[in-house]
Amino acid sequence: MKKILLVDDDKDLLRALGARLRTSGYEVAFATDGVSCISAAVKESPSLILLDVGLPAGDGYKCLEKLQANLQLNHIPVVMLTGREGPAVQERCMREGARGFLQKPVRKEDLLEVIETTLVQSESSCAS
Amino acid sequence: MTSVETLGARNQQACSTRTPWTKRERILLIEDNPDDALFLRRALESVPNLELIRAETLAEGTALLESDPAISLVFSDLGLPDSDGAETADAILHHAADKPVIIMTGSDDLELGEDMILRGAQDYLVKGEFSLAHARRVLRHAIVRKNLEKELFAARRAAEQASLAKGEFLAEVSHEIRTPLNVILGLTEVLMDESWTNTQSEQLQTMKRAGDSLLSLINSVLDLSKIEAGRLDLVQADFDISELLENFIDLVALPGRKKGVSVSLDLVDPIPCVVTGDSNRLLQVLTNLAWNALKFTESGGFVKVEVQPHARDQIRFSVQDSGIGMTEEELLRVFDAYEQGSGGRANGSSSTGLGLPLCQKLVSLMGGDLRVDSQRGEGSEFHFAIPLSPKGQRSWPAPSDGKGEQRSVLVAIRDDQERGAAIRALRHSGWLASAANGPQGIEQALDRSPTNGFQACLLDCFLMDELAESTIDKLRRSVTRVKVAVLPSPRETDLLRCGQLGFEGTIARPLTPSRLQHGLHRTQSSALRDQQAAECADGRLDPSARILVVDDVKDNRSVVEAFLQSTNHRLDFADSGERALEKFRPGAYDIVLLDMRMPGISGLETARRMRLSERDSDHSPARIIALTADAFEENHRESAAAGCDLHLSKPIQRRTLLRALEDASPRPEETVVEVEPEIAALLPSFLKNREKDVRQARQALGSDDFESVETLGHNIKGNGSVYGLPLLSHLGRQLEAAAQSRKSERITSCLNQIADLVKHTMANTTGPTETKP
Repeated sequence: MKKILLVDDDKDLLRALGARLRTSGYEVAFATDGVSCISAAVKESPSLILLDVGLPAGDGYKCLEKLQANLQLNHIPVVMLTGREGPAVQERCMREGARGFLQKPVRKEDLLEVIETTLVQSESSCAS
Repeated sequence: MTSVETLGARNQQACSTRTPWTKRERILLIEDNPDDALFLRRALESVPNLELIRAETLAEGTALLESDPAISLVFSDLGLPDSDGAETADAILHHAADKPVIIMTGSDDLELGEDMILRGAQDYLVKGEFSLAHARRVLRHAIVRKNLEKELFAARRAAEQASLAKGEFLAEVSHEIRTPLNVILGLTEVLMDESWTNTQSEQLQTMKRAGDSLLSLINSVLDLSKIEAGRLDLVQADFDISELLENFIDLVALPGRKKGVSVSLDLVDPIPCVVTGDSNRLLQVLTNLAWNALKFTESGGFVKVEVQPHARDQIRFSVQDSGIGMTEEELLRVFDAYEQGSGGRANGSSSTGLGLPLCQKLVSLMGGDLRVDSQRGEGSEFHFAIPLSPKGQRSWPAPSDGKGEQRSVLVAIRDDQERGAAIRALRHSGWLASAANGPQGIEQALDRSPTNGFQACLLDCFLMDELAESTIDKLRRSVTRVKVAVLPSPRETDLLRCGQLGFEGTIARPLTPSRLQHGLHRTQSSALRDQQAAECADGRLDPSARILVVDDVKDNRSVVEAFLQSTNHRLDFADSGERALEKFRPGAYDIVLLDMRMPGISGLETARRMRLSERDSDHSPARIIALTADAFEENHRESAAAGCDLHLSKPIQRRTLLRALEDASPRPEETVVEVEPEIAALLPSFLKNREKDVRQARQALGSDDFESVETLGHNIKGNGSVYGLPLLSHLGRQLEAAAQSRKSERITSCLNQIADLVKHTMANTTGPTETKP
């Protein structure tokens, strides 16, 4: 079973997304800030990280940067989650190494589709 | 010791014609030295109508000044037994504030004398150096001067009071005019919706236009009188300047197009995205200037708006036109209120002569200086720079093709101004832009195309039909990614044609930097577009509310009725506060539209009593929307304090009313989207947390902590729809936006709606989760 690490400071959102992913057959781990995201990523070695851009202490971008800089972690695909509107955020996320992007409020179909596509893409790129 | 004696009694008859005053003047002499006192008395002996009283100490002198209001002038020595120098002078000047004071100083104290005049003395005499005639002249001048001063002061007071009265009169009259205008404009709008012959509908449009311009004139008068009374306060808030410019250019582009004048917006250098300032006033100034420019520009000309960073944290705005320009004489008077240039150069605001003076005053309130450069026949340029401190930098994604190379875009637009502005805007955001102004230009540009080809192309729809098949083919082949057409308006036929030519997207005129960016970007990610469309649909729910309309004027009630005829709302009417309170029961109405100015029980009082009666009821409170003809901010605050949720200024536009009602309407109850049972199980605790959010937000709002409210709104937006509550997400977004623009009333209304929704959902979902399969 694939494990997904969910990182968001909104615990209600974590719970709901977690429930949703579990029913769709994923295993789920949680982190609520940038620091615990890194340690959880090391401990749980998830197949994918779903990361909120607007984390409080040390924002999502910083966390993404740390993940990318970490040789042990930079193979894990990161999908960014944001409540900010406009294309600028998406472009920045992609430029800084995210593999996927989800706009809040997240629709169920989008969530699963983006996660699945990202997983498939990263597997095929690893294989080749 | 005080001595009183009448001087000049002997020759009073003979000399009376020589005195510049008619009534008897009583003069106080404060002098301890009897010789000096005698000398002065002798000097004044020959002046008729004088009475001299003498004090020997400062204490005695000031006591006399306090007790005897008839004293009209003071002579005083500085060196007295109980005081000396400047101290004496200050004490006397203080006690004789409205009387002329003449100081006598020692012979070595010339500078002190000058100093006394600076402190407020009328004149000074140097002891031992003045003659009798000199003393008489000084006395005479001091009295005359003082009398003139009094007259001047009285005249100025009268003038100021008259001006104040004028201001109040104007404000009152404008207010009174707005009310019937409300009826006229409203009913005209309603009539316009029905079917008429062409002539009739043109006449209606003319009526509406005339009414609108009358309204804008009245608003200008109100604004000007508020500025003159020092009562106009700027509202400082963060706003997105590109959004403002977009709204602005939209307002001006359509009338420009109708007149055949090209209107363009040019961001010469990148400017900050979010700034702090009064966006409404800035918009008002810019539209006034642009309309003014349009008015004096003939078909075929242009109006160009340039925006660029100025000195530190300032932004410079300039509105240029290719119109008739002004003579030097007109230039001098262009900012005078109620003046119009002799050459027919009128001042905006539909040639009322108030637009430009108002702009100038507003700009100076915002910390700038509105200037104009113009020559007869050469067009005009109005420009100003105001401080707008940046809150965030526009960070458009630098377009790259993934290999780190810059992307190239071909900009094929016919109009020079428009093309130039578009190219600059694209270059600021990192594109390599090439220009073409016609079919030939396009061919040439494609031949010289960059090594990796053009990744995008903007094509003017005016050029579309002039392109040869071969050119179109070439275009289709050499532009690798995005092809976007530039359109005046998204007409069906144009869209179809764009599709046939292989264009993936369109951008509506007038072009603005963010429109260009969005247009190019949107075309790339159609997924995002679908999502936006879906989100829009979330917010559009069919409202049906029970509305109580309270207004003492029948016509006003008719306007509201006519506005809402085609909606699902159910209306009830009351013609006074008393009648409204009779009808009002908690839970009986969803919305109350309440006129604030009514005879008998006022609107404010009605609102207060309605809130009181709701206090102990279980029904959710009605939304009270205050309607006033006052545009003053303090009235908004007053009505909010009385319990009103929203405030609308008359005349009400149909759109504004509908939007307000939509915001205030109860939402259909079946908003819960079906979710997985696992999530449904989490719902109760989720809803409890949202209740907490609402409480926290209300607290934060109480201490003006908008940022916390914004964060809460942001979170609600993020988590609502995951729990199957898209409407909650929608409200969260509204809350976030309201907090960003610091609109307390909007925030309160959003919070009320969120609280309602949460309560409702709680009531409806506790059952099913227990009996889940």
